[in-house]
Amino acid sequence: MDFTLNEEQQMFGQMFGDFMAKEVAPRAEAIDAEGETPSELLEQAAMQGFLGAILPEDYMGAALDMTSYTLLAEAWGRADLSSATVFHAHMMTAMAILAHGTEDQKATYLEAMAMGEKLGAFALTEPAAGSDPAGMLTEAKPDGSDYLLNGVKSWVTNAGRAGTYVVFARAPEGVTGFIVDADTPGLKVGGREKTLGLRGAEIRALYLDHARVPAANVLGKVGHGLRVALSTMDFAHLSLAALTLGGAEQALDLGVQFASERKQFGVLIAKKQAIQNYLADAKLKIEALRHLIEHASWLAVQGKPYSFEATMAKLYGGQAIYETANTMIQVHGGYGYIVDYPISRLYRDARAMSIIGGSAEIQRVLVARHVLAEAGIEVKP
Amino acid sequence: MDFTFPREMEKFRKLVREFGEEVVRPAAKAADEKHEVDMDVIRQAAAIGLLGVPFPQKYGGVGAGETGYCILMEELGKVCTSTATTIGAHIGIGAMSIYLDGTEAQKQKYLVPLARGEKLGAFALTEPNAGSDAASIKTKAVRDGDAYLLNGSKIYITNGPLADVISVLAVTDPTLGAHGGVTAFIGEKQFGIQVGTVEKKMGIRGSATSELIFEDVRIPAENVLGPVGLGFITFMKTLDTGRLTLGAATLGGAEEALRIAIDYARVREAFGKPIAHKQSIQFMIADMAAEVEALRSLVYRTAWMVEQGMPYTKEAGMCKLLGSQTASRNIHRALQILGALGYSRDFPVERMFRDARIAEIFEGTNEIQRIVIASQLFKEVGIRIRP
Amino acid sequence: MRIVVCVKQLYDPKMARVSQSRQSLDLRAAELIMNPMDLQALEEALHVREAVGGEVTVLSLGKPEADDVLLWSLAMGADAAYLASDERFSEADAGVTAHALAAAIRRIGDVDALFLGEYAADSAGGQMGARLAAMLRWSFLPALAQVFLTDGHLSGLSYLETTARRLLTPLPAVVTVYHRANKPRFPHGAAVINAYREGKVIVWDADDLDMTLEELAPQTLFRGYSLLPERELGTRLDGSAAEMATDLAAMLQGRRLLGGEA
Repeated sequence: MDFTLNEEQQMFGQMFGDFMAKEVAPRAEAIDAEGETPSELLEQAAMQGFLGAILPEDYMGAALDMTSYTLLAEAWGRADLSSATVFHAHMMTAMAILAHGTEDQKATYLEAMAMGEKLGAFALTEPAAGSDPAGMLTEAKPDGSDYLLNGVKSWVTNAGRAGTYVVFARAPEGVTGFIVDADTPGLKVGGREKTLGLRGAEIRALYLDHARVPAANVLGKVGHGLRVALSTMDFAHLSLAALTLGGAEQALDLGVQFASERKQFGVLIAKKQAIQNYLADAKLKIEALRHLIEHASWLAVQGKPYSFEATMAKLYGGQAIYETANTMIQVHGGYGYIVDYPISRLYRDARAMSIIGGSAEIQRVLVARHVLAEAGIEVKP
Repeated sequence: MDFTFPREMEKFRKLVREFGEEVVRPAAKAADEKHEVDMDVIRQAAAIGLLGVPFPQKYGGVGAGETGYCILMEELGKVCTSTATTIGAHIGIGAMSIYLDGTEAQKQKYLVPLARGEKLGAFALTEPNAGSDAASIKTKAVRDGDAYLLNGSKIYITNGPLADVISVLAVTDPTLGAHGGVTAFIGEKQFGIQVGTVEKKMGIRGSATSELIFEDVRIPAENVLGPVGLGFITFMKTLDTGRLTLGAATLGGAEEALRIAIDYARVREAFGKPIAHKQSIQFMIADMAAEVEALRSLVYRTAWMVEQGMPYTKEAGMCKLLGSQTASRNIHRALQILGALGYSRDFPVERMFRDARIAEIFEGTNEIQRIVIASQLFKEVGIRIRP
Repeated sequence: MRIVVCVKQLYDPKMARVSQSRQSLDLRAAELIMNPMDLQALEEALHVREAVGGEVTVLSLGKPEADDVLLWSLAMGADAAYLASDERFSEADAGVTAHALAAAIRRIGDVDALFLGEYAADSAGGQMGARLAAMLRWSFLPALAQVFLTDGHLSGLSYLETTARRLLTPLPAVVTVYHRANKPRFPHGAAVINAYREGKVIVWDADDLDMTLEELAPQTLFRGYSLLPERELGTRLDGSAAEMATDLAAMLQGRRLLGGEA
């Protein structure tokens, strides 16, 4: 058992924290108010190598190990959850191509993604199939050496902004992944979704109207799309969990700061047991979450399966960030409800984390499936 | 024990529900988006007496008592928390302070137009360094002939920018502290009370909250509300009824969340069947319903206690505490059941989620409610606790 | 000036379901409400009273709990309320109801005008106004809006499907109020509380109304409900716009709904 980060990981963690505190955190309020993650922020992130964080150096990536990646996602989440979600959606798209793409596909797409020339977007959810990819209606019809894609994808983060989409559709052989260029004729984006939080992330529907995609752009094997999607989910769960860890830490920081300045009944509220209990419980959740993430990322670094651990981290992270933001609003009292204080934004953003990337309910199904598999019982949603 | 409502109360509920559905609900989204009070809704509510529900008819009220007032708040809480907040601050703390401790002349002069909705009321207690801590109040009132001169500022005053009549608490004798040294006054906007910063809020954006600034505001001595020096008691008494009816408004929000959750779970399909067939959903909905019924019982029993003239400080605190938590939890669950649609600003749950959060904070944070409840409980066994 | 408004209590048709046996209504989820069209009749009468003075009296026939619609009418501003209620009315058809209402109107006395809703939301017969006009030998103006009373006369706009006629008649007269004539007011909260606490409804039975056995005998019998067959799915046309237009024209001509050659 060794719980220390290695020297390189420590250095990276420091560097990520510095960058995010300097470049991202100060923009968080404007990103939310204006509803946009500025391009120059993404350009800066690309220059730092963040947009290719987990990609190998061959594709101009930073080749971070999974633990270092979670440190990056945590630092970004701590600074601003909106732009961190943009980053996350990009990274999981790149991850899908890295894990399942052919050499040609990787050469064509990953370098541009790492350089920030193309942002990634991952289009799995449909209006009638949220957590249920088997209910997918989008069709991929073979047409010569191409496929014609028809259907609607909903709640696609980065849609409209992305250069490279990974889209899932039902081919005659079953659900199949496709890499789809943004300029593909027949690919259209819908109106911007207006949301409670994560307002700096561009979320839209994606319309596929006879979108012509070459067979060479099939990602993984034809008919094996669910496998591609699910394996990408392992990474996505861990990545989102790291975002929630950062967000929860930020919420606690804001609560501690306020409690250390605010006096009521003649004393700092930090001296009141009720407030101390809030802070103690928040810290407990944060450290428990950190250990779930560290364990999952350590398994990944070891090349071991980490699917179950990543799912638990995401499930717990969604709860932990919401509960922490919620109690830290309470620490702020009336100030927590005023938009000038960042805790109210964090609270709105935090609420997304039990919904996006698979709802908490579906993640419980996955965890229960794992738990009951040992007893020989099969769990279906 | 009779748990049915008298017929006139059921019919009063029908009136308020129809008004809520036809007038208030359709205006709620725009008021939230514009971040302003829809005064047309308030005027229409005033026209049918809804700005004076609990007060006797001889003071221009509806005469529906505390139960009728809870019914009003519950029904408004279903359709628009902002409107419930505006009307709640007007009736439940603004006008109520005058009803509870005003002289007959003060009631005729101020309560009657407030109850008729010809004037809007507000209640000014909180200061930058005195939220729930009334002993730290800094606003000063100095006697000057037949009047008092008030100096200081109040923050987070619901209806601050709109109110004509403002009950305000100020220090008259700094040596005496909260008990004996602070006095309640009936202020009028036209006495020179200025509106300071208007707050931008996460929710209840269809209500207006602002700072009120007092710079040598001259209030006639006849406008002292209750005995000089005992304003703290007037204000705390008023907050008790405010907390009860805030509980009623949260009951409405919690019920609405339950209704939305059931409606959605009934039709939304996943894995080939409506999600109503999933236990994860069923259990959330069962918990929502159980908590709604517990809250309903608490709210209307407390209203009954008020009408019986029984002490109810502890119960009012419980209404506010349990109610705000129940509404927040139920809306949280409804949002979870609706998933992305719950998170979308195109559907009302998103607004309800932002709106509900205030109830755990204002009119005394839930932490203060716990202190109030615990103080009462320990007082009963002879222990005096301080916050 | 005295206007009588006839109001009816009924189960909210939006919430009533025909039960599986198809013989009766499943009313478990249904609420008793005031016929929405009668609310408009009352609103129109209150308008007239506000313009020319006088009084508005409401009248209903029903079970004792039908006092609800009368008390609500008092809350809205009616001056007096009468309920014709008798177990012998339990099988009442439109004829018996008309006899009872006509008798009540005679007994109220000095009535200048009678207002009714255009029809009842549960039966949609729309015949009560005409029946009462015939029995009372008053003139009858159907589907009226913008009702106005002048010296001994009543006028208004009578709505047909696509046009409206301005009509004028001497009093007394029976009027059914157009179903979109106005938007009924919300009563004042205090008026609701007072009406249900101390509002008076005068109840008359068949004897009070001097009704004969003949008048009490229904001529139509209710034999049960049946559901209408569900509408069949329409035909879906495919192809280009021109092809679809040609197909549609052929179909309509085939059914003799459109002139020309098929």
